[in-house]
Amino acid sequence: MAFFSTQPKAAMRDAVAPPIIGPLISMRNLEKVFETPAGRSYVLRRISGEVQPGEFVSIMGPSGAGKSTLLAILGMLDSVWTGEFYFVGHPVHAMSHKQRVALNKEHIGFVFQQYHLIDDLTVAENLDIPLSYRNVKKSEREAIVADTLDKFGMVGKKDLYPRQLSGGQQQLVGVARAVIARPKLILADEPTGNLHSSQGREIMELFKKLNSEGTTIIQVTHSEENAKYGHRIIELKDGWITGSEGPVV
Amino acid sequence: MVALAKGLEERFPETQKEWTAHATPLRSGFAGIEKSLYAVMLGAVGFVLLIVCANLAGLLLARGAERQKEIAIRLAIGATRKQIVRHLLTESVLLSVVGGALGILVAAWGVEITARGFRTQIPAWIDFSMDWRVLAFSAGVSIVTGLLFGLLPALRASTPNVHVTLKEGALTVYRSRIRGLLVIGQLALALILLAGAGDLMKAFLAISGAANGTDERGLLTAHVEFLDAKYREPATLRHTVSEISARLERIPGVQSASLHSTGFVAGFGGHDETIRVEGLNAVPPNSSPRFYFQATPGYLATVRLPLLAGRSFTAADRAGSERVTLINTHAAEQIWPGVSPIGKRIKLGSADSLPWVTVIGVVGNVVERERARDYAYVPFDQTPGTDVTLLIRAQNRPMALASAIRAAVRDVDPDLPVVQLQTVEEQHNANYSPYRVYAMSMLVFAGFAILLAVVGLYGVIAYSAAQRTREIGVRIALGAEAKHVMVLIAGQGTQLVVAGVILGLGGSFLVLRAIQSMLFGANPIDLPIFGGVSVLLAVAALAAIWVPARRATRVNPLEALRAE
Repeated sequence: MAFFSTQPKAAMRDAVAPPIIGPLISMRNLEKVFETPAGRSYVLRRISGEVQPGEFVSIMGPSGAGKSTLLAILGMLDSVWTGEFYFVGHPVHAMSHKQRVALNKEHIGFVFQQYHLIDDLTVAENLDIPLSYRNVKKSEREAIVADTLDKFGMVGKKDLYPRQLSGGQQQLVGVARAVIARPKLILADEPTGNLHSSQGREIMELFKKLNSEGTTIIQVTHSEENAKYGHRIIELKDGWITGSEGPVV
Repeated sequence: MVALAKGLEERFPETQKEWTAHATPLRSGFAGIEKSLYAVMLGAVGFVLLIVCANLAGLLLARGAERQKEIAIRLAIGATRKQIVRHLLTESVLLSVVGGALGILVAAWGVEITARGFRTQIPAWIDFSMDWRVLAFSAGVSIVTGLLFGLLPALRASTPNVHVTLKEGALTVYRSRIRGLLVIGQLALALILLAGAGDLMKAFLAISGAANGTDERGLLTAHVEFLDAKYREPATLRHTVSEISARLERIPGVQSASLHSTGFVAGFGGHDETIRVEGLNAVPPNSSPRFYFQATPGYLATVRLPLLAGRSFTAADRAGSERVTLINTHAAEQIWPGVSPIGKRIKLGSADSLPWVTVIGVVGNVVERERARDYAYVPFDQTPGTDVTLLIRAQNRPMALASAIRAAVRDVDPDLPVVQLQTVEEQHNANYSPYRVYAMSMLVFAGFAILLAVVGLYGVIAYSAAQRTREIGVRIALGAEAKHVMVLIAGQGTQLVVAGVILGLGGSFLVLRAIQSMLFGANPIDLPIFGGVSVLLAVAALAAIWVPARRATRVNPLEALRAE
């Protein structure tokens, strides 16, 4: 079986990772199965491996390979699976729903292919959402939102609604929203899937920059070009890890 | 009629003085206050219908929003807006007509149940049955409401942005303010009905409560009118009444019996007349008895009115002996404060020609509607009347004595009809039955209105929560906990409830003031009732919000995000 921690074939990019001891993610025999009238249908089979702090990992594979399902499990959005999963040393498999939500809130940010901005909130209000769920004081939230808008070059668009933005701008807000609570890990599900190539490149460059600043990133992508932004590429097919290339950080 | 009465007064001044006459239409004679009451009930039904229509309009708005794509396709392939509106209106009218037909079925069953439930308490002139007029009215209302309340949703639904709606992947979320306003209106109408029903029920209970001071349980009453010419002779009347009283008391199972007439101190049309008290120029305000009972000696025992001082009537208090009277405590204390009234003399009216009567005893107060009613009681033999009420206290089942009572009267005079033989409680209920029907109906309408309004609110919140499934999924992925989702969904509903309650309280104030005369003197702005019904409605509404809000907290973010 191929594992996350198999030896790299070639270095894909220069990796810059902060010196954190121990893996950020560790999985052992992770499996997800659906019971159907025709029998058991496996979505993920015996997924094992580790992701180190500061890594940028790309997951590739054909449709139905289990990429998004794996991402959802890593993001603690999916709780129906078997196996062992440790996140920053915490045994997620033994945690209650509430504990998982708390862990998600503390460490994880999401970027979605469809952006998933809230339609009737402005850019600034969309950015405020993750902070509001983390009990940050209103005055502090305003300062952080202003700072993030500035950092992402969106100060002039703070009062616009998502429908008034281009796809690339919406995804920029989606990335800003994912990082605003300073997560250790960003999970991105086909973040450039709905964007033109130039817009896609901008977003990938942004990920690269965030990664260089210490944020661990795991992205699911169909684009080989975008996958190369990662240190490693994990290939999935029919729920199995079929290949891995790149250095383990 | 006035001239006729004047002529009678001139010819018979002794008996016709102060009497007049006026003509009243038969309809208002039978249904005077009831006519107004039923107008209010019709208004209440109108409120319920409005709530139903608001519900229907809300449903059609939601349905129209969901069908935007279908309507856009129809418009794109050549349908005109007029055709779309006609199509949607046909659907709404069909819906209301089918609803109306079902309503008639339920009404046919409900009317029978209601009539059976109220039985004799329904006044005889109320026809509790359905005929072609009811059917025609219902059909007309169904069609008109289907058209009226289907029009706005049809007009709104028929103007989608075809380009945007048909654009691939476009997801249009309709947050209709109109649906919210409709729910606020429904809640407000329900609150008005509830406050009205509360006021009416309180007023009904106040006016219909049994009098305190006497004991109506186990008491039978009947009416006998001594109309025969022979009873113009007082001695014959006295003898017959005495004989009937004696026979009634001998019936096995009768504890005591009495007969009495009622006299008016003031007489009709002379409301400011009072009794006269020897040694006083005038009686204190609100202390003069307005009525006096001309009763046989067994009266106090029969109604269980306690004698508190002095003595009661005896057989010795007959015609020709000293005229005597009993008076109630309240009147006695007001007229002779700190002094025993026994031995004092009064006249039961203002006229000089009236005889002086001596107070021989003081009885307990009869309290009605929290106020002591001042009455005097005189021996029948000294002031006989021809319009006589029988009161019989039974040891066990009062109505089992009915035939024996009729027989006792028949034995004395076979030509005397005994009418309205019933228990005092039955008589009491019959007296107040229109008001009872009225108050109960209002309560039923109010309950129905709450149910409808709450269902409407549930529909809006559940629909909104379903539309926001993706948003909820995103929020959960961004760290929202169950409490955040609950606040998100319930917050919207709570705003509607607060607005509905505020609007409803304002509406209640205006509506109840307008129908104040229907509340039997009750204060229309009753703060405990307003507070109570607001809390009741709010609790029911919050329960309706809680269900979809709770469901929203269980949204699976994975499925919600995939749904797109």
